[in-house]
Amino acid sequence: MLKNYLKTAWVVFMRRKFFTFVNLFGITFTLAILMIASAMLDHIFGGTPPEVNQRRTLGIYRVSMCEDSEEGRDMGISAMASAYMLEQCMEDLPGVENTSIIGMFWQVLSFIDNRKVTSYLRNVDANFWEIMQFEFIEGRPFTHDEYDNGANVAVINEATRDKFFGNTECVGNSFEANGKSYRVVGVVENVPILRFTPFADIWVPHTTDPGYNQNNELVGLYIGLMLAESRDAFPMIKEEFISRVNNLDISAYHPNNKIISVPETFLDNIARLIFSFGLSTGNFTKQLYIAAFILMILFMVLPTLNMVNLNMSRIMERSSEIGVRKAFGAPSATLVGQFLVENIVLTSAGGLLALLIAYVVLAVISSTGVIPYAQFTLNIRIFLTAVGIAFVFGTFSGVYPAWRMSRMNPVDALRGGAA
Amino acid sequence: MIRHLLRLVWNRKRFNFLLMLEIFVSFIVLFSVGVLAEIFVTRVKKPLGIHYDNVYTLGFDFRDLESEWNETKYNQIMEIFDEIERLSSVEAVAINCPVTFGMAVSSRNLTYNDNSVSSQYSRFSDDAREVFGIEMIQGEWFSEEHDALDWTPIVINRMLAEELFGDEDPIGKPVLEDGSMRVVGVIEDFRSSGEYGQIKRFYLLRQSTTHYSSYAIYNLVIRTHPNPPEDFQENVMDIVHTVMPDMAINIDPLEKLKARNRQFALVPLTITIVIAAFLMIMVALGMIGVFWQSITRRREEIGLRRALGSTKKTLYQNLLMEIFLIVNLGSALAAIILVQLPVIGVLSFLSWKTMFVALGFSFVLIYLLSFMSGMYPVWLATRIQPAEALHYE
Amino acid sequence: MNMITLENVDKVYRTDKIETLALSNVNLTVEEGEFVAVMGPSGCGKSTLLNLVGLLDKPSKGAVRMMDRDINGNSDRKMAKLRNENIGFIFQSFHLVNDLSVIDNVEIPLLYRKMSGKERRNRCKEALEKVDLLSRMHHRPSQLSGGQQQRVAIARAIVGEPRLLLADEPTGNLDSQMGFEIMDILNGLNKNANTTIVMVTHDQRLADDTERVIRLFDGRRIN
Repeated sequence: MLKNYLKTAWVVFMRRKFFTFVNLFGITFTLAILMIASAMLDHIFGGTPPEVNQRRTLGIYRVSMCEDSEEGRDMGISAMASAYMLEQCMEDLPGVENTSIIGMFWQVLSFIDNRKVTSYLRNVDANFWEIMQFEFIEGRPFTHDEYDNGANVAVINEATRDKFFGNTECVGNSFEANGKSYRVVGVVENVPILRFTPFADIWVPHTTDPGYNQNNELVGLYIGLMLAESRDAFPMIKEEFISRVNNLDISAYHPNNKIISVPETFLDNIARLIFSFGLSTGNFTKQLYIAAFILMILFMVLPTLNMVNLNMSRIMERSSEIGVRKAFGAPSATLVGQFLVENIVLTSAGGLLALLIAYVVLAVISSTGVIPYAQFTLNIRIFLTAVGIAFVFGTFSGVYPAWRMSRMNPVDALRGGAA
Repeated sequence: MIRHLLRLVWNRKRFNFLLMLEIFVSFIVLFSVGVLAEIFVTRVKKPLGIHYDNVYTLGFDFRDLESEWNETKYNQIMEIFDEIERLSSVEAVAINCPVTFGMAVSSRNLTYNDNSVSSQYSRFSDDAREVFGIEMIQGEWFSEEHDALDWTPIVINRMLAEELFGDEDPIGKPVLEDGSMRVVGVIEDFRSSGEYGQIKRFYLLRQSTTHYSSYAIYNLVIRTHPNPPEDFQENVMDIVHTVMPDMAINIDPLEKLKARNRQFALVPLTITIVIAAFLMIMVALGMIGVFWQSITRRREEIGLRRALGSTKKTLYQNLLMEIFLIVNLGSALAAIILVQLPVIGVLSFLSWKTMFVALGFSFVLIYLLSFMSGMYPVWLATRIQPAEALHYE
Repeated sequence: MNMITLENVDKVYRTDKIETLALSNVNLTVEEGEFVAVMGPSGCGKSTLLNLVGLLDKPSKGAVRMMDRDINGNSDRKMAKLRNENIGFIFQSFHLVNDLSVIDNVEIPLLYRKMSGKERRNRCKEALEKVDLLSRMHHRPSQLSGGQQQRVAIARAIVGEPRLLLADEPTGNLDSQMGFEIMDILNGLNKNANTTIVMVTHDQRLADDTERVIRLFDGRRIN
């Protein structure tokens, strides 16, 4: 039966090539855009190397100072944590396997033959290399000893090696950044700029920075990372961390101030920022998903309407055929089944084409270097998302025409139309 | 005839409704693009208020400005200031914090009489006028004589002058209740966010270069001769590192900062336009399909009309008119709803001008779109031979 | 006056490969006020003849004259005008527009004339009155019986007060009772309004009711 359906579908598609083309164009375009968008989001939030431990990692991305007033909560400062605050609150937390304090990346200048080279430098500690699993092309991360001794050592990425040393081995060589000399101990693969937590061109120890952790300010420019023993420990860690934050001495700031900082994933952090401006300690990721879903639906309204219109036209064209079949006793269900199979075949074909197009577009975007080091790829997660979207799309665009078809009166249908 | 066509469209309402809905949504998509385009075009056409060619910015990356800023730092930065000014390729150096075209903004509330508005601002030293080529439209620019004042002079842009003072002459007027800041001059609509940025209320706050103040100086702007030597940026860095060895800095042509702003503005706009264009192509192709189908289905009727005396031309016009009726219904409905939005406060940021330009844009494009999709199927319809169509059973 | 004249008319249909001679050297004159029946077996060229008489088609060879004027070389606009003002059509399968009400269907020929909406409506009502369907003017064609539908079609054909009425098997889809009703109306029009009628039919009994019968066989006139 299914084989028969598919055969009829093929005949129908070939008979009306223009319709098939227009339908395919709409489906393919819509799904390709959605796939590209999800590939980019996956690139930012997904757990690809070096963030292989992402599922077990919590980050302290933000510290907000708020003032509770009668009208509600006003934001005073929304910033990042200081190293002092992170040390105070992350030390010996139960359920935590490893912690790391990393700086924010910033631009540094070097001059090679009068040519200015700007790179992004990030100060990190030695634990960083344990929580993140970088792919080393040569050399190794800097060690705890080197870190403790304040050695001027650096791990650089492949692009930086090419800029400073050409495409040759360079471990043991030195380079200058912002007038300071560093010795290369390792070279890693490029990390895309959209991967906010690990990204940099050059990673150096905090101990090379004389100003590191020299005062008792609570806000600064640092991110804390905590590798939990398992995800089950997350609630416990959050609770303990927040209670430590609440016990911090904030008398140096405004007396009404409240300090808010939550261990969370990067995605949770973005969601919390969007939905509460960082003023609440709650989790808003569900809202973010709902918002993304609504956006997706809004984007799909027009393509779906377009396809419904085309499908209605197709059904009208075949109304006399439908009438004859009905008159000869074909049950509505069979006809509707035939139609839905056609629709799903078409949507799936569009989905496959979209996958191809998304792959090409992403490859082009990656190769132009608009977004530094971005390597957008498609993976099984995105493929499954696409299948899901295609299914929703196929159903949406098929249901209404199918319903109208099932209600079609054979007499009217035979007369050719009045649907 | 119009009434006849209207009845025809109405009687096919179930079928036409879907088409109308599609037009409705398309209209809203086009409207959104129109609004974006109008806003950006208006912005780009406005003057920028400053000259930025051959201007470099030198930014100091203090780790924590508040705790690190002290008199020593001030003296070091002023030493760097003087050293750079002595470079042969340099025409002028000035303080500008936060830097024009940069990411950071400062803002505060200003009050005159009972009128209070919030305004963005940036601190400028006396030489900034030379660096940026700022033109005054009223009053005077900062000068060393202002050092003796017990209030801080500011120069405001036209928009701020209009919104804070209305018709009054702003020169000499205080903008804070305690009178500690007063207006000395007015400039054109200065935009610190680049040519794609919104014109905002803005004032320039005078920064003295003769004595220490608790406001940190973390950015200088430098105007060079055209084509400075290749090692200019490196020289500047060396000067900085001689005075402040551990200071992290940024040196960039202002053009680069502006380009970044432009990219921030244009990338979302481009993506929106590309997606909207694809959607419209899809809608156009879809409509061709639907009209074509509809013509095939109505072969008999069309043949009949021809037999009963419709010329090809009349037929062509009438069929297009039918399409336009549906399109009009869909887009008029969308337009009516969209016009309500500013009234009920949803899109209150839209000016009426933007609204009507965007509506006009959408109407023109939607007509063009439907005409282009209708043209071919309708032409096919005129080719139908009445003799054949009427004997077709 | 001669209403319509065909002189040595040939009509050839060409498709990609096949050339079909539908009419061959046909001569025919219909005078004003005549009621003529055209008979012949399927495929003999009856419909082609009617298309030529109705100015829906042009001959491959020979001349067609309407009211003694040659229509060969007339523009599309002129042909349309001639049809609109002088000819009414009735078809076997009615060809009513299902999406329009009865009165809107009847109005169609008047839409292509310069006429006020009010006058159009009045004339439509008069026409519907003549076929006794005024009470159904706001119905859709699909809500009517076959005979009623054909009467609507007749109202549409006569609303423009044409001098020539062409009927292509007007009773072919109807039972004989309804068929005779239609014939009565046509006869009435012929007698009272002096409308010239050319009717294609299979039915000898209907043909007997007319003044003259033209027989076609294989594209040729045989009487």
